[in-house]
Amino acid sequence: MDRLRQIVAWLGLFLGLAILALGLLAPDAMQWRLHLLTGLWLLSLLPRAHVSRRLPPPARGVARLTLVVVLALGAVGLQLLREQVVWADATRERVALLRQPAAAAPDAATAVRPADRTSLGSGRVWPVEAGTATRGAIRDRNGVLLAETRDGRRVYPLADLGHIVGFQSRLYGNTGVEATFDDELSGASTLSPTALLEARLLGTPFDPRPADVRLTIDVELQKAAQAALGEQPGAVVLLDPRSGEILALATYPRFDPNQLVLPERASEADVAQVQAAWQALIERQDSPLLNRATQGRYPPGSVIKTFTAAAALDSGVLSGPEAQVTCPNRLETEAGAPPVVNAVENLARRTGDPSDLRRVYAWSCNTAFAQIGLALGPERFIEYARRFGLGFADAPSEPPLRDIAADAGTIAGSAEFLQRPAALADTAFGQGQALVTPLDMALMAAAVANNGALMRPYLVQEVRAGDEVRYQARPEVLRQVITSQAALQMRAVMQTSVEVGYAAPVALPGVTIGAKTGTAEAPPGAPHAWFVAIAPVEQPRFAVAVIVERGGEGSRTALPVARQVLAAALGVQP
Amino acid sequence: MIHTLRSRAGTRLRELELLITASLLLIVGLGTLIARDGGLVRWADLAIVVAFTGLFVATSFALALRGWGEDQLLLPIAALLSGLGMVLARRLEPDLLARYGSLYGSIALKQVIWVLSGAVLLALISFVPWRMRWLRHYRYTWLACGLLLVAITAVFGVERNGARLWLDLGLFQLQPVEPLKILLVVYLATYLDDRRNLIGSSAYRLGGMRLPPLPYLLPLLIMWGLTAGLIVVQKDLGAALLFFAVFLAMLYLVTGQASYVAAGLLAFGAGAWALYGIFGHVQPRVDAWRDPWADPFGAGYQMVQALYALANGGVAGAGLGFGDPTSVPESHTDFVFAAIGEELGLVGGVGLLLCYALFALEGYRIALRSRDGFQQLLAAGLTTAIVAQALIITAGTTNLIPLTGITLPFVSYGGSSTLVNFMMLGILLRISAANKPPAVL
Repeated sequence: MDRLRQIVAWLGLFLGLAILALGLLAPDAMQWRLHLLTGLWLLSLLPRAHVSRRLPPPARGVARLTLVVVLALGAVGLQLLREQVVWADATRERVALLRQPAAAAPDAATAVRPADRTSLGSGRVWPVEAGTATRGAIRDRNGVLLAETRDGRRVYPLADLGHIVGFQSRLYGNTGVEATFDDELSGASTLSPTALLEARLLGTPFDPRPADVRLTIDVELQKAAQAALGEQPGAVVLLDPRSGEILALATYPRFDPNQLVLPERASEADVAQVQAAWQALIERQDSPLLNRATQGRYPPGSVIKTFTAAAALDSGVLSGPEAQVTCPNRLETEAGAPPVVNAVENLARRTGDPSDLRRVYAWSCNTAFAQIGLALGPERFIEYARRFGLGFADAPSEPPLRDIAADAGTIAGSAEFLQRPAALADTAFGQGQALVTPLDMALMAAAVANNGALMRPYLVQEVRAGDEVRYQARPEVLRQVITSQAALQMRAVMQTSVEVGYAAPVALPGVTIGAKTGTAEAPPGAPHAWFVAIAPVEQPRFAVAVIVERGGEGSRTALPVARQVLAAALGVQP
Repeated sequence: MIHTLRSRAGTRLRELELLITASLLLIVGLGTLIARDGGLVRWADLAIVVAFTGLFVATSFALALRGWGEDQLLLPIAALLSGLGMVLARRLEPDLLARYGSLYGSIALKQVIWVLSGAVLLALISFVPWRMRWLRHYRYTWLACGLLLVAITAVFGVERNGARLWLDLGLFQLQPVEPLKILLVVYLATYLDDRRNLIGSSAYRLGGMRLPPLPYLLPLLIMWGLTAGLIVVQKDLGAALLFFAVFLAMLYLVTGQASYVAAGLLAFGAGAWALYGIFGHVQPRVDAWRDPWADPFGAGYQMVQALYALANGGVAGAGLGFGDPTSVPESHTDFVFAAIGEELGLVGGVGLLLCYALFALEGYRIALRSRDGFQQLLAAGLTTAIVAQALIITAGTTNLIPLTGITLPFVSYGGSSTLVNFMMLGILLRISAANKPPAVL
């Protein structure tokens, strides 16, 4: 009998080992736990057989307890083996593929054809006679009224938000939020397709239930941004990097949407007046209808060095903020191409020689970033550009913002362009063919601010009709563009730029800011002035991008604008 | 006299060697961190190493001179684990600060203070004269103290993370569950030892099931009620699970009846099942355990991050200071094992488990060799309390069992837990002393 038990115990040992090995390979966690339990029980047969025979009763209990504890610790060890070795790659892959549950995209946003997504209006006229008297209102995040229908006429109390709110014109169609959320505002989205068809075919009026739209814009910050920009052509984007909420989206020149709206019963004089206003707007040389913040495409200049540095930190090309980088006066890239030079002669006096990433970034050394770009190589450079949402002119990426018309930036005309060392080096420090929107640059800074997670930017918070919520925006991670470790290092680099570099004048009392200036050459004429910033560096709540067209040096014209906006956002006295 | 002392001085060489090994780990760990931060050695670093090594070695030496013959393995294990805990607090502090703000200021310094105070406490327990008998004598005082602590916390406690577990004492925040561990083990050891002889005397029958005699049934029911109460009032699942595990282990040691343990487990399971439906805070834990990937940004977030950290660790780990362990929330307390897995890898994690296994083997060996039933139960109970706690949290953070928040003994950041663990160690050492004079029994 004893002999039989012995044999069973030994069999249990081998069977247990086999079951454990099988379990380690089982993809399902529950199955593995079951295997673990069975396998360990079988393994325990042998020691238990010994324990019961050899030990006196009081010691037997202690011995069994010890066995249970040791086996349990062994189970945790096996679990570690499973998670850290056997299934480690699978876990990493699963995390890489994770997407935050996307906000249920409004039908209106997806239904708009690309041709309609211009701020110049599409001429699209809704064929169903929706009573304009019942259109929903648009408000800012704190409930300030931005658009409502009064006596059958659409009214925009704040005259200069035409680029965001848009307009609803019977002559020129809808734009902005009025266009993308038209179905919600008019109430058409509540109708069944058959009811809509019936209304269309028979021309019968229908009874829609219009909804109100609430934006993420904060009117106070919007006003601060507009005041800071003043009457310089350009744009300001202020967003919350943690969620992607756009808090302010200022652009200049602006237009007053009220002048394009016809009253419910329009006289011929009214129509003529609106036509004249439209004609004046589209004939102006400074394109007031263009939303520069989301659709203006500019060369990025030195602010793109943020992207290059982040890519280098993430890929391991540079080991950290203190990684050694040199800043020579000239850098030959390839035969026949003009060498890369710095904006200032003998910049190494400021950066030190050899310098490190912090200081070449702070003093915006072109030759240093040309070298970093070359070290990254075209494949990695293109991959990181894709992650940051920058495509090519011949293969543009999808614009991340869906709520109003937006363009996506491009890193070069085509992928072939970047294969040339000279072109890659130029692009890496801000020249070349890259064309980006201010929103792109704000998102670049936001991704760094948000531990490497790029959030989808959005303007519309929610749509509700009374108590019924029809659409609720949820923060959505577009991509993890760099690791949180690299993002942390990048924030330190950006902070150095404010502590010792060109961006120093942006400093505000009591707040840490990370920033980068940019001066984008765009001959003929003065360069465009750029500035991007995040604050506070420890836990960034704001990311801002500013461009002043033909503004000259970024630190002279764009920086003060960003400083005022940040001061308003953070609630500190500049 | 001098001759005896001289002959005793060399009796604890094994402990001394192991303590020096533990200090070497602390030095290497600190050195890695210092090298990563640019190689600037501060006076404070040297002071920490010297104080740590000095305290433990001095305790060991004093124990040797007294010559009571305490166990030589437990102290080095505790030193190793708490040294690792200090290194980890130091490593996590800057990342926690950068990610979560000043809430986590100076945890490294605080942990050093806790560990050193713990070592001092251990020395006090070892050298201030007290009698083992007192523990037995004042059993109801201990029980009353424990229940009072729970009651006070339930009324005046401070709520953090949705659980009411802290008592604000001005100077620091006490976690009353920790001292409760000792009080409960002491009480249970006396109670069960007194009723040792009742085994199998009269069994009640309920239908076809044999029930334990009343002296076992009653405390079992009380314990069951207490754990359920802990879950309901304080929402502290980890402590409830731990207490129950310790109680069942001690019950098993006294009765030798696996059926009582099974009945207890059944009762616990039934209670947990009932609470699962009723209380909102149990359900997400279980859901996250079943499949953390079902809701990777909600209920499963912490677990997914922990699994990701473990996966990134691999066999050898990312290296101390080269991972990103703070992406897992609570990485310095409950989830410190995930941080270890990420930065020290499978090797570090299994090494840590081996430490606890050695601790268990040694603790239960002490129980076997102790001189009376009370001390045996006490030693087994204390050992079980420490090792079961390690098991609950390591298995929880690796998604083997549902996660219940509790600290990793000696390693996690936290004052109450560190101090209490050293106290338990002190009592264990006292029990293990083979040559202690009869006066201190």
